[in-house]
Amino acid sequence: MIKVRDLHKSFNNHAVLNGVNLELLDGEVLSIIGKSGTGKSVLIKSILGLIEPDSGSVEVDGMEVVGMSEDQFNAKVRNNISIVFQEGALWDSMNVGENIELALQIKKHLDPEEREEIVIDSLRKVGLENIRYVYPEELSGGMMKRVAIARAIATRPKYLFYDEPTTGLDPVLSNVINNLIKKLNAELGITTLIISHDIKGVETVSDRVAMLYEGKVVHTCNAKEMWQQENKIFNDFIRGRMGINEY
Amino acid sequence: MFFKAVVSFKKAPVYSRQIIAQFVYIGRKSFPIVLITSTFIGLALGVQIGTQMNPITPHWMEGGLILRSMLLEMGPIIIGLILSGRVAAGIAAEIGTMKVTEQIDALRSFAIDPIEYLVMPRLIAAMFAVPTLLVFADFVGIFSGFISSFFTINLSWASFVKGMRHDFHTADVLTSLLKAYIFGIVIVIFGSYFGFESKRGAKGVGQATTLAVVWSSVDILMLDYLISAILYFV
Repeated sequence: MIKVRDLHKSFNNHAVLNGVNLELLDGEVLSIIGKSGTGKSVLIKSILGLIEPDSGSVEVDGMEVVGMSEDQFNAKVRNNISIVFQEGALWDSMNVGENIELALQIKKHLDPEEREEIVIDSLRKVGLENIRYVYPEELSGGMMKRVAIARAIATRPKYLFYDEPTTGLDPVLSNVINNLIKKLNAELGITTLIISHDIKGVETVSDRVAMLYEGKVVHTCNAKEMWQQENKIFNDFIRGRMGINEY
Repeated sequence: MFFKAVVSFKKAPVYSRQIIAQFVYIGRKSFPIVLITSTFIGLALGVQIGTQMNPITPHWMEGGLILRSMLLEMGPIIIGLILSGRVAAGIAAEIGTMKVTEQIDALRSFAIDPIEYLVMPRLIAAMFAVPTLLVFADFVGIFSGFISSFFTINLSWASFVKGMRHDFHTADVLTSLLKAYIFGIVIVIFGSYFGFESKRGAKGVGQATTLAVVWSSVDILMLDYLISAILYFV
């Protein structure tokens, strides 16, 4: 379980996270929604130690991670958490197979045969087993995201974070990605945290939904009941009724 | 960054693939441009020294002058400046782009230290590749200096060799290699540093690339003087 308590982060005196409280329960799919610039990406990067919060607490499986050194994060936290970045963030000097293999080579010290087996298995899970030797620049946006997911699951993480996994994709591809997220959560039991603006996708994929507004979680609910909520900010946002000035 | 990269040398075997790839990039792919520039520098040296020598100075001395000019200054400086433009710029652009496209964050998220993965292999590769390139540049520069002297003052090969033998000092070769070794480090560290410091967007990456080339070139010239001065007094 991941617990976030009263997390604060400012950039140039502008508070992006302003006391975030959140719990990610084992095995669940939690989606965080909210308008652009409310600190959703900052929140998941803070959990992973990619951004250092100003104050507050983040517990991963009962272990406080705020204030950990980079080496401690590497040893104790990042081996259990993977992230799929918004644009995939594939390493473009390597082909797809090498992208998936890198962490297995450097951190897991697996031999080439074992690595190859995991690469093929991970690509098969995302339905792209034939692109092992293709370079990222030759991939479409949807394929890039699926390769990023294959790379993320190759290290067998306990937690998997997705930063806007369907942004920039057409509805068909968005469905493919959403179904994949659901499938991986069910098959591999990966606890999943998603940041998304795709309300339909959030409803389909998530167990719970949390809304981040002005640096705080203002509402959390069961995804199946998200259209019956009484919280005005949440309601207005998911129905697209927020005024432009509020953006 | 330099010390962190040096500390991670102990993990070099894990990164052998990356080190070989960087050796190819820094060494083999710079080879043609280094050969072209050292050829023309050697040719120019032959013309300049040959035409400006005092009429009473024996012609065979030109061999020694070209040899020492290439070994002590022209060879290392050519290598340093050419590789600043090619390698430091390339490293800054690549790392800068990786930073703005979250590829560095992706490395960190997989518990891979970006300095260990991006800087250390380049540093090790440069420490071997740059002195190797220098050896070729020196040979080509000196030989093209002879060709030029032959056509300018009709200097024979035997006279050219006599001049080289007369002025050859092992310490000059070591100085030349030491300069190349240090310039290789400078090129990688400046390229990497400005890449990691790159601001967002194409403009940020462009600025990082420019700064890497400018500062590595300036530092190479400064260090060239310092090394020459220190070794002169030692």
